[in-house]
Amino acid sequence: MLLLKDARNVEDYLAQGGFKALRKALEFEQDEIIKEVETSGLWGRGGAAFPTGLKMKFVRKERKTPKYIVANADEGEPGTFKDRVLMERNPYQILEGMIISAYAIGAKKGFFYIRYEYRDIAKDIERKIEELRRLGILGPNIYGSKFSFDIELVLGAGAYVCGEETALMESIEGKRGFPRIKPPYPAQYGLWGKPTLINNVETLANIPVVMRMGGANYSRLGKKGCSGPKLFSVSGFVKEPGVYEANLGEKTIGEIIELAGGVEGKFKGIMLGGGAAGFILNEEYLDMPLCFKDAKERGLFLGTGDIIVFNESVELWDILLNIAKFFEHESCGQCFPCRYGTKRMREIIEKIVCGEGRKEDIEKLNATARAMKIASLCPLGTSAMLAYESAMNNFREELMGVIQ
Amino acid sequence: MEEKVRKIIYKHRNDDSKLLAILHDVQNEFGYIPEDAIKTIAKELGMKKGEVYDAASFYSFFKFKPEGKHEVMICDCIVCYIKGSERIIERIEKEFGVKMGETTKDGKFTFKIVEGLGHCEHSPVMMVDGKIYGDLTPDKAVEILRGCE
Ligand SMILES: Cc1cc2nc3c(=O)[nH]c(=O)nc-3n(C[C@H](O)[C@H](O)[C@H](O)COP(=O)(O)O)c2cc1C
Ligand code: SF4
Ligand code: FES
Repeated sequence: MLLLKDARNVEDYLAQGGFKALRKALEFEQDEIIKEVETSGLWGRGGAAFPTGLKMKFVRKERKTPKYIVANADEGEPGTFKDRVLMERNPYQILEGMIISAYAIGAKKGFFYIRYEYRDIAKDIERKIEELRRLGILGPNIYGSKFSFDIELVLGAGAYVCGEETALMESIEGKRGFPRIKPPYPAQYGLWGKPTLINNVETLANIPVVMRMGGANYSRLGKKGCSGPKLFSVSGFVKEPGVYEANLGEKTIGEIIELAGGVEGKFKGIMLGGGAAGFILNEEYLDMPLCFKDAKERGLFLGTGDIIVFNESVELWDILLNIAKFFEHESCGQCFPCRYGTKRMREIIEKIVCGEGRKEDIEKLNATARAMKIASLCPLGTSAMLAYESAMNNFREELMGVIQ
Repeated sequence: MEEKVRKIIYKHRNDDSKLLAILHDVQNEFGYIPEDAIKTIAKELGMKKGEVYDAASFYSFFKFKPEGKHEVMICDCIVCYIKGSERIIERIEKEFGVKMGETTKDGKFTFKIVEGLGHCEHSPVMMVDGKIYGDLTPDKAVEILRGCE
């Protein structure tokens, strides 16, 4: 395994070749590192699947200073727990990736933003940051080089939207977590208006892998144009729920479910990409390879890479109500289409769950979904209806069966 | 109290990201964020009291009044939901005579529903004072809570 290693303390991590990638990187020119990451074909693991090297390049070429780097460990998407498991089992690889990235873009200061629900892990990461300072791997003149860098840990306080990169920056600045209007993007206007690189913690853990094996070799892991190891959170009705690692494109959805011990009960469907901002799919998708491109060709996203398995006990309208409540609660309320739309969706679905759904209600739901998609300010508002829409595509008969 | 709050603020003088860190420490110290603490924080950070409150109240885990001795967070998000979280909530409400969001009469527990605890391999899950309990059944949940001092 390249990511899911067991290296909970620094001795183990060093024994497994830890921080070699950082030493190597410090002998590279900054642009050479970015070139390696670009060649590797590493795309972001936080949901949006943006090419990591390109984002580094954008920040690198900005003239404004200081520059910042942020590790996103907010992991608020329901059904997603891979970042937590990674932080528990292989935390130093994330920190190493963060230090290398900081060097590449020319950042002296980084922030590690972690959700409140993971506060025990946050304490542990804080201790590890302190430990790395003592070892000269963080702080002034890292490994005797000219490069100095330090990390500040920031504990969130319970808001799904704060995982969105610009809301997260507002939060670090000590404000409400309202998403900003983009552009400008964080690469130009990030923390305190300065160029900022923000990456998911799993993305950062891939950076030492790229540096160790070289971008070209990394790009051959998995499938062309969709490369590298990826973590999948598999939960719901499987016999062994947990986090599983596979190279992108190497395994199908069905195969990952088998890795997780197979279905408990009779298979009904899955939710892919996120337990809120995700897609409800039927058995036709079981042979889809888990790869950003294959997903895109079918009009889907891998999102955070989670797979929630439903068996025959799961009622789809109940699930949709659960998701609608989630979005109503988590909408930050800054813009009207999302604030009103999430409430409206919940009300209509509630009515349907009570057995009072009519054809007009479906029309109203569709209209609300359309309006939110067009007019919401951030991706929370534009993804709140994905579960409903995909369920309608794949389980139309069942869903319409209760409509009068 | 002002002395304690000032100490907390001083502790974070070198942080770039101050406000959340200070609010967390104040809440750890007093169990909630008292109004007077907000006043002191505002003064020390050169903010308006309203600004501090505005920011703080955005986050669902900051509390502005005292709550029960133990904070019980029950996850009702999708994975926990399909694995039976509603039955656990129902049972707890019956057993402790409260609704979610309320504090028991003896002040021992405050119960909350939360949106995703991130331990879905052990759904259904609850968190008691920061500690995770997974693979719950209604009986097991009640047993764990009865075991709290
Ligand atoms: C509502 C919302 C919540 C998000 N939550 C997270 C999160 O918890 N963790 C994360 O890494 N990215 C999250 N993202 C994606 C971030 O905005 C951003 O794309 C990501 O941190 C970039 O890192 P990457 O390029 O390494 O994937 C969220 C986005 C939205 C719209
Ligand atoms: S779309 Fe929703 S979450 Fe995003 S800014 Fe608007 S109200 Fe807030
Ligand atoms: S849905 Fe409850 S812990 Fe993940």
